[in-house]
Amino acid sequence: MSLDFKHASLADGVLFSTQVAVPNVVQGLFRKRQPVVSAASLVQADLLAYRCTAGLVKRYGVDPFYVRVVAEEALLVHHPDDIRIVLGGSPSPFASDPDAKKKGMTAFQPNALTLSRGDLWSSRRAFAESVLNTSKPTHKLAKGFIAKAAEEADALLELDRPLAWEDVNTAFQRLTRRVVLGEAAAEDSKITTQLAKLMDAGNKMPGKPAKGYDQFHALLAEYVDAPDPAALTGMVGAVAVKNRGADVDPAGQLVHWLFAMGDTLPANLFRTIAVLADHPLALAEVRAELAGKRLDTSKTIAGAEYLAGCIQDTMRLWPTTGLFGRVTTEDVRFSNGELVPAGTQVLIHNLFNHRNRARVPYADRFAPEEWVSGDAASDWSFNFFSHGPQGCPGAGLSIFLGQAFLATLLTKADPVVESGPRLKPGKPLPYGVDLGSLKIRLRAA
Amino acid sequence: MPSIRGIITGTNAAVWRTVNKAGVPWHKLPGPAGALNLAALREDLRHDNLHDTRDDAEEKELDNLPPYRTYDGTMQDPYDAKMGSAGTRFGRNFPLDQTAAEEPPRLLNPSPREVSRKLFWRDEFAPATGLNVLAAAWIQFQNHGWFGHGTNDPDRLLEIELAEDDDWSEDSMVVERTIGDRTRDPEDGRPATYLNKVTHWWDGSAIYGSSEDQNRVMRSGEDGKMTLIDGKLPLEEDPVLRGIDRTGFNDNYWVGLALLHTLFVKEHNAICDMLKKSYPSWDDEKLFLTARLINAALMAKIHTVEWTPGILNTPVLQTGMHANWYGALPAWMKATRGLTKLLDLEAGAGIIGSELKHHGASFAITEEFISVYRLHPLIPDDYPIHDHRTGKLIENVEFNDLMGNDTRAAVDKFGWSDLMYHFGTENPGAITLHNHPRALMDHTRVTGQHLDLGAVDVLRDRERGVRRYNDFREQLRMPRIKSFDKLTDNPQWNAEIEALYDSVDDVDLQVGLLGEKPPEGFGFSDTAFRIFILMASRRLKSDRFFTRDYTPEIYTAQGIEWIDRNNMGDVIVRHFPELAGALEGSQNAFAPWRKAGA
Repeated sequence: MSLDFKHASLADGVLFSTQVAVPNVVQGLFRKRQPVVSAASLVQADLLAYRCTAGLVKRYGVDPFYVRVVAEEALLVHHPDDIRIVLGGSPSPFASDPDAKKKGMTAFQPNALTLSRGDLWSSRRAFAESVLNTSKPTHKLAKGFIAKAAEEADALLELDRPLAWEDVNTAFQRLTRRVVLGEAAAEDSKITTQLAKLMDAGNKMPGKPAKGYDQFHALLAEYVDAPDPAALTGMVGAVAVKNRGADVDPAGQLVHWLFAMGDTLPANLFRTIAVLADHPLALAEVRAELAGKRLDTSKTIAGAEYLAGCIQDTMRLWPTTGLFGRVTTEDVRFSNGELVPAGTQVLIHNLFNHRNRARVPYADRFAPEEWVSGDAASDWSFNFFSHGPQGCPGAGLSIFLGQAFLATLLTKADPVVESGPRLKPGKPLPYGVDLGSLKIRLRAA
Repeated sequence: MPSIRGIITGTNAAVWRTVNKAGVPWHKLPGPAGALNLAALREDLRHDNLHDTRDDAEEKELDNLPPYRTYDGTMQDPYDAKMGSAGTRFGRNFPLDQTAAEEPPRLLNPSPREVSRKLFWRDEFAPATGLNVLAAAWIQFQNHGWFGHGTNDPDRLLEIELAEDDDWSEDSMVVERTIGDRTRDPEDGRPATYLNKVTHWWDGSAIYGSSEDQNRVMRSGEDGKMTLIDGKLPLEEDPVLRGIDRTGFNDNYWVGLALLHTLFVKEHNAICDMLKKSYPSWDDEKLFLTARLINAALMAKIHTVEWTPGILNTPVLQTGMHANWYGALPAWMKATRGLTKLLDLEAGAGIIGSELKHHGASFAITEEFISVYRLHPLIPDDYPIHDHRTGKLIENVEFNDLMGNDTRAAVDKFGWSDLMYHFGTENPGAITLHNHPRALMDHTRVTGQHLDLGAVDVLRDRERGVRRYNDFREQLRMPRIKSFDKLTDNPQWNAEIEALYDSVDDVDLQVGLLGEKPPEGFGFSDTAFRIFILMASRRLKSDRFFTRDYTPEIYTAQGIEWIDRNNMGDVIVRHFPELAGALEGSQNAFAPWRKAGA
């Protein structure tokens, strides 16, 4: 009996560990360690990681295969059909709380939805979907969110210097506090700093809430207890009672949104600005889509599909989560009968899958149109928001905020890259874009 | 100039001829010596026991050989487009002057029915304890891919008279003669020949059919797949065939065949999925043809390295059959292609991927081969169906409840899992005298014909000119049996045989084969085995898709890997994962599986 996936050699395990897994960890699993990221960028760590996985896939074929990650074998799943089995089968039998993630995230969000299983997962998922309006075309508070995003974008336009990553991040952290916690939190940068410290602690994977978590949680709870009707805290009261009880921990659920919206989204948007700065035709398309329309309506913003495609393709090209995992909660058989034992780590290498030249015809170019009229949106290879039952419940809201922010910025200014990587058409786009080295001037249009 | 290989094999054969003549049979020799002796026997058999019946053989290199198996088996041989195709003649293992059909009165003497009643009747079921019933169904499944004489001739009847004490329900037993060879001039003075209605090749024609028309109606038309409806094959539409799967070969159909036909159609479809994953741009036809190549090779591998060592359970055969497929040499030596090619030692490098050779006669399944594969005693009469999860008895049924028009109803009633579990856990019958299934000795076919298949087994050999037992042995250079008391090691059986036959030389082939004491560990006789070792290798060695075209270019690298990595247990568990527990720890899926609760 040999219904087993292939096992990569020990040498390939060493290669994968050193070129994919370890760099992913040392750059910061949850909060990027900027100096390390910049250093990694210099040595083109992302290129090496891509090449490593591409080489393994060539050697071991289209099916999943085991590869040793430091001491333990993990199953690397890379074909969209198999990714669909894994992500379509989350949280059970493919739980989203593999050990490293759990140990790290427990530092700053021990009660996170993504670390939950069983009934508690269902309640927390329902909570998130209710507050984030996951199933609605646009969020109930969308119009107000557009105004907030436009204000933050306008503030950036008034800066008399080229935009740096810190500028965008600071603006977005502020926007995030306003959207999630309410206007009362607009200037509460302390809570953002606290979260950053907790996430730094999470990078070390302590396996328990980091020092200061209780205080941080108490501050969040205060915002939840004094909800702002124009912010997400204002949505909590409408959640079914069984899905917002103490076990669900509503305040604890906000943490994920704060860092996903405050850190991850602006990183993607800053790269979107950079790539549009060097893609004048795409930029013209964005502007044409918005031309003559009122930018303060949900219809305009949500309807800016090409702009959404620009953000999504940036997320594809430079995924902020290069590698993520699941763990099997029971023995699982794949479609050809291969048995994967309970407790197996399953890895999905976004950095490779998003750029897999053997599968993605537009792998290394900027291709927003593929999200509008192509099949990118239905391709399970692209998992910056994951897919399936555990797909990001805030994906729609995230893109919407990005659209609102960029609509203001890009209709009012021409972005010009002053320093940092150039992302021009005509040659394969790089695997990594170091945000720290990027400076973009916004020239009034 | 003789080749190095010729010198080595010739010397080996000469040495062993002397040893065997001295009365030491190959199966009494220690492992490596036994293997060398077998190789020598096969050399002699190749030289003396392959005889062509065709008169239309060609010898011209063909252009544009298709890189896949054709639907009717044509264009398979690189020089002879028709060789092995459906509708061509069966070959022979004996010189043609030794293949003359028997005619009355000898044809009916002694009465085949009496032979069956007196020597085949199962008093008590004798199990083959090392095997499971799946092994019985398997050989029928494979046979159906190799040969079929087609519908018999309703205008030429043979009437078998019945003894006074025979309780047969009619006055006599009427058997239709085998349909004749219409490609022959009946006055050409040569012994009769017969046509194979299926392809002779080991190409899975039992599930794929032997013509394009037949094949097309079984296809889904998408992604190369065969049609399955709710996990079952479509049913035949002809009312005579109600309850029987529409598949490549569905004569003598029963649940055992339904299980295997369905299993390997599922496997075909899984291979299509695997190929499409690697080659998303391939169309339906390309996916189908490539999947068929892979599936047929997987079945051939399972037969060679699992079923055969299961039924011929000796260390020499375990090694020998593995060597037929993989070669006996370690991988690093096989990688030294120059050496193995120079020596051309197929036992060392394996037949798979070696040079294509027919050994002097067009490839064809032979009548003698068909005779030694009459293995009806394998079929049990009783089928206690158990729950595969608990082992609890669900119902005791009989063979007749599981066959012919009742096949689908039985599948629907018990479900695949419990039926497959039964076939995996229970023993088939031992291949011996007094062990023919009673159900088949009083058998009504879907066409309404009422027959004793034991009698038919005897009659067909005589009708088709397959020599009686002693002559058969002589043609294989085995010693004749001189007296009745040497036929079997059971004095009562010997007496029963003597009571039926005037002379030991008249003893029918089937009687001799079933009475003969097999070598230790063997499921059938050494006499049958001689035909077996010749033809088992030939099915591979004569087929370009197992020899020169067994390459990644033809099969795809993924296809070769699929064949290498999977075995019968894997195929079963892939499609019936609920049986993984029963198969756990199993070394051979044709040996009895673990029983639930045991």
